[in-house]
Amino acid sequence: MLKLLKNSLLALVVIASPVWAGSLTLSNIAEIEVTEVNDQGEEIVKRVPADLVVPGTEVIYTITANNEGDMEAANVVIANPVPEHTVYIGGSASSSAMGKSTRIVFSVDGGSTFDVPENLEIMDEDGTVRLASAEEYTHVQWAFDFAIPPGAKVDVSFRVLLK
Amino acid sequence: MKHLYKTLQTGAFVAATALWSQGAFALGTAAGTDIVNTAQATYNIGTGGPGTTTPSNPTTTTVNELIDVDVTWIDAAPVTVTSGDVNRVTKYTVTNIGNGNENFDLTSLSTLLGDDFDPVLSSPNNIYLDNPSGIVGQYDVTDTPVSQTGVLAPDDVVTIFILNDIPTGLNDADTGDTQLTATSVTGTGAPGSSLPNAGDGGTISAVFGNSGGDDADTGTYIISGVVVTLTKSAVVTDPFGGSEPVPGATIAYTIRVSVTGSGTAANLVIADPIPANTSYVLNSIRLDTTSGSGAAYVSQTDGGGDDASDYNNTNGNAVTVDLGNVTAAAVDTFITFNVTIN
Repeated sequence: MLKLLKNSLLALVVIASPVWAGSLTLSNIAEIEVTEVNDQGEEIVKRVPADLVVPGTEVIYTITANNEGDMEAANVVIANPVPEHTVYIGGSASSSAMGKSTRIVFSVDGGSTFDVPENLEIMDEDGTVRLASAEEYTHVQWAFDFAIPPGAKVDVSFRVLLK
Repeated sequence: MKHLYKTLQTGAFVAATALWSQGAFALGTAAGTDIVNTAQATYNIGTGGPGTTTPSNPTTTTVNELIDVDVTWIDAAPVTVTSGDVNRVTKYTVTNIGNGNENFDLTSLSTLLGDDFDPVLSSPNNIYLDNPSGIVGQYDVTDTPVSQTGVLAPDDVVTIFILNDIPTGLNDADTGDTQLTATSVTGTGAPGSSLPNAGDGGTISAVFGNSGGDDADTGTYIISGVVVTLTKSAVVTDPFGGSEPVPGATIAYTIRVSVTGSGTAANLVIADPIPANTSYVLNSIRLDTTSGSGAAYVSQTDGGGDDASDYNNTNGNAVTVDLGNVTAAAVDTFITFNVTIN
């Protein structure tokens, strides 16, 4: 009887946790840009799934935060490590909610600390202190100064170059 | 507040950046590598509600095979040849600048436009792969005739030689071109185009790089009619004031070195063994490289390494004079030395 109670409690916990966590879901897609020529002979840049990538290809990651719960999601911070074998392309991080004050910051120390590009410095072996270059960023972070209401979506995006 | 980080923490990223900045010759990410990306969100459920973390789905992008090749003619200058030469060598490198393992077909062509003559590709073979036996980086008999590079890993380089015969009856300074082409065995296509399932392992695509899967470079031969003529003369002085070649008589030898035609006689070394039954007169070598007439001799030492001449050093019991590179335009050189008859 005690064992049965324990099991049902466990089951309750398992069922309960997705309800909390499920209020904000993150989906992530990888795309590349291809140039196509339309009927009028004009070149059109089109985004397609990132299937044909080789060294030197620019890959665009778009992360969509979708509030599927019935409560607002507050203090939302999205972080994305720059994937292995790629380098971040300077100036490429953006947010669909930029007008609503999104703070985009970067890390050069594996995600321990984040700051804006003009404050990210690196000391070389000879003691020279210099501004970190975009290729040296390890993480990108978007911090929203607003709450995402139930049913709303926010896209954030960044680009990397495949080494 | 400024964040300051030491290179120690970021060394790997700095190194990676340096590699990338080398452009086409950088070792790109290997074909077949999976690029995985996952984002993460932290937030509060409701203002002041409990904090939580949620990851995104991971995206996995597999790196395809980039097919790219570079062919470069690497002789320092046009190869100097004379009419009628056979098996003259031009030297090239073939580099796999893609990111997968790739074999390349090799073809040679000498009937090119824009030159003065067509060299004749040597028969039956004219494309050779430099191999580790024999002299590395230089054509020798141990090198193997090939029609492909063999499978090259990314950034692998091989040295290839093309051999041609030179037609007869050509003029000084005429040039003749010959060309090496390397073509990916996987195929060729416009830069950026691709072949499904043709990449390494057969599950990824082959994508053509800037070369389009093939590359060629042209090497050049130049006819150099440089001719070196040696004229040797002897003056005998006997101990009795005459000119009889008797024991004890001195023979003064003079070698006149004439370089004519066009071009340069490279690394011209004159060696003259002391004749049998004679003895070299120590420190008797004199050299005139300036007057063109033997009017401005400069005394030489017998030791090696201090001037252009030596005795019994570079060659046993011989006079050796290293004149270096002598152009056809240079004045004649005069070398003189003495021996006594035993």
